[in-house]
Amino acid sequence: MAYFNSNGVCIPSSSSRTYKYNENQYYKFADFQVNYESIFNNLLKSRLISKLRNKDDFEKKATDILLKIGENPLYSNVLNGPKIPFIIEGFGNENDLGTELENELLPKIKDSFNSKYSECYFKAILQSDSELSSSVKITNNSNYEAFINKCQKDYVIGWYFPTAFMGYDIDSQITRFKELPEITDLNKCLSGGIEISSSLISIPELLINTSTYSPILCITAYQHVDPRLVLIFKSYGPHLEFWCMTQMLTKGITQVSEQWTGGLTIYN
Amino acid sequence: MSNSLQILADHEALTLTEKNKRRDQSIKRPRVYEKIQNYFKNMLDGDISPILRLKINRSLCNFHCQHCCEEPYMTRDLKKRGIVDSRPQMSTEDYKELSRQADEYGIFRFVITGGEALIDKNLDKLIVALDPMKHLIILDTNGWTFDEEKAKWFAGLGGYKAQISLDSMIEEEHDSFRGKKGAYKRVMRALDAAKKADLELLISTCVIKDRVFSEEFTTMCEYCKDNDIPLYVTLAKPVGTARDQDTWVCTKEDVDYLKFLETKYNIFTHMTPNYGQPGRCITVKGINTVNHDGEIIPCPYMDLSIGNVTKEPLSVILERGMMNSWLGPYRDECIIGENFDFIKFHNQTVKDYEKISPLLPVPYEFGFAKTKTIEKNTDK
Repeated sequence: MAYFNSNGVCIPSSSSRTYKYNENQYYKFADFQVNYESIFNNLLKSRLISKLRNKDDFEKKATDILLKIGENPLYSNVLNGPKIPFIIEGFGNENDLGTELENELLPKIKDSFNSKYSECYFKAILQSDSELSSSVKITNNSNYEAFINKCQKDYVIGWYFPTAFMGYDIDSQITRFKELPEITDLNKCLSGGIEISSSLISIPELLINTSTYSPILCITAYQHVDPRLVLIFKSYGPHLEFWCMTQMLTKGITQVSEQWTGGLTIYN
Repeated sequence: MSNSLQILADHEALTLTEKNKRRDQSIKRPRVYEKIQNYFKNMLDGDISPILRLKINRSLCNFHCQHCCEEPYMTRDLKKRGIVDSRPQMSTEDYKELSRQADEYGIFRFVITGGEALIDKNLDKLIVALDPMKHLIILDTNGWTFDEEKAKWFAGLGGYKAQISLDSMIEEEHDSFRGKKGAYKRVMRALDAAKKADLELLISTCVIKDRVFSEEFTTMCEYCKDNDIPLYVTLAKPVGTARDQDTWVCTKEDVDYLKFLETKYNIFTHMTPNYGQPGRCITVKGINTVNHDGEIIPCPYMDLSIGNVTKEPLSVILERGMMNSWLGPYRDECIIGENFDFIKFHNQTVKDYEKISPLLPVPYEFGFAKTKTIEKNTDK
């Protein structure tokens, strides 16, 4: 039984709380081509990888991962959705993911974004009096510890599937992820701050869509100490924004938005 | 490399101007200040504090604007169609009760609009009923009668801000669009009058497709910048008089360019990030219109109601609106201005209801009640 539909979105289970299923998907990324060379160079420039890495190794291993996913009938449909390859090493400060975001990853995103769009802004907004530093931990059942451990010990190559959990509320992204089967020879986790940031750094135009609205990227593998808050990336017209904002739709009821999406990360 | 401090915007995403205004309110209107502070404290729980936009006096107006979405609500239009609106209208007592409920809910802004609100001979009674010490009272006007005397009168009643409509910096174009010769000159006079009366002020302008790229629009932005007047931009919607004007509808390109201009000029739309909230569709959560008969419409440009405030509590109606799948959940686009699925649903629903009654808005049970409701967390 396939776990993903023809758009690459995970099919909800009976326990999933999702926005209405919509084949037409109003919120879309602009068409972007995976250009390994450009992605690799942008990551190198932003120091997400060291000079020891090489583009051919990145491309080969990333392509191998796609082949393995394609051979797995439970997962092959995820390839129908947008996907961004990444190579990362040395990131993932498990003790303080918030400070790492604030001091390392967000500034790198800003630099990358402004190098492509010099007249537009990238800014981070923290709703109410919220903070990032010492306030962000790994989400339970996200498998993100293993991802971070690998990033710390070695370099990691993988793919970020940003629309895997499109239209799911945050809790349902987590519970549905937990229900997914293992993938032979590969690892998986809910997407977190490192590879989502990496994707925005390597493809700064990722969320900039001139013809329709882009999805809003939830960093579901990161959990704020205030459970009402979520971390997201979104475009605002030609601009890019990071928000630490409430996920409460109204008192006691969380947001379930057609536009919000959680990602699935599959890596070697 | 950028410093993180340069990136992290102010915690509450407030501009310095907004902060100063808020400080002012702590002295002038302590209850307004208290409500704003509470809103910031409680927004993480999902609390909302939308503007309530009151359409008064059966939308009576002295203008005949090409883009007007109010025409189907006006007595002159109903008369033309041989229709009498026998629905009970909101009384001063009803508005007083609305003000009480709004205050209790934490709402702090009322916009009074029409038609042309200044034509209403009972406007002073309405402002008093709304309680200008507990709410910011904002007046929409085409400026025709808003001279120095009228501006002082409004400020004296406790009015907070005047929103004056200007649709082109080219005099003939504005007059022609508004269907009234001399309208442009009166707008200029109204702007001066509002400043002299020490009222908060903005210019409200309606854009149709491609206007944002015009030289005329740049001139308007420059004029507002030079004169320190915020420019509020509304997008023409395919409703009301413009229901068949699909070619007026702005594209994402227009909207994105406006967002780009926000960094250059003091311009904003209803979707601009403010009060610590991101730029998004503000149905229910940011603004609701109260029709003359008490029907609450979750957006100034829609003709579908989410309940009648003379029949049930405001809080119940707003909660219902937030739980509607079109209206509550987060979405970036303006659904009535840009989302053709919604526009189709909206206009078809209005068309269907007009077979039952010519009187808008469409009551909840004939419109939004037929759309999906968001599941509660406890339903799973």
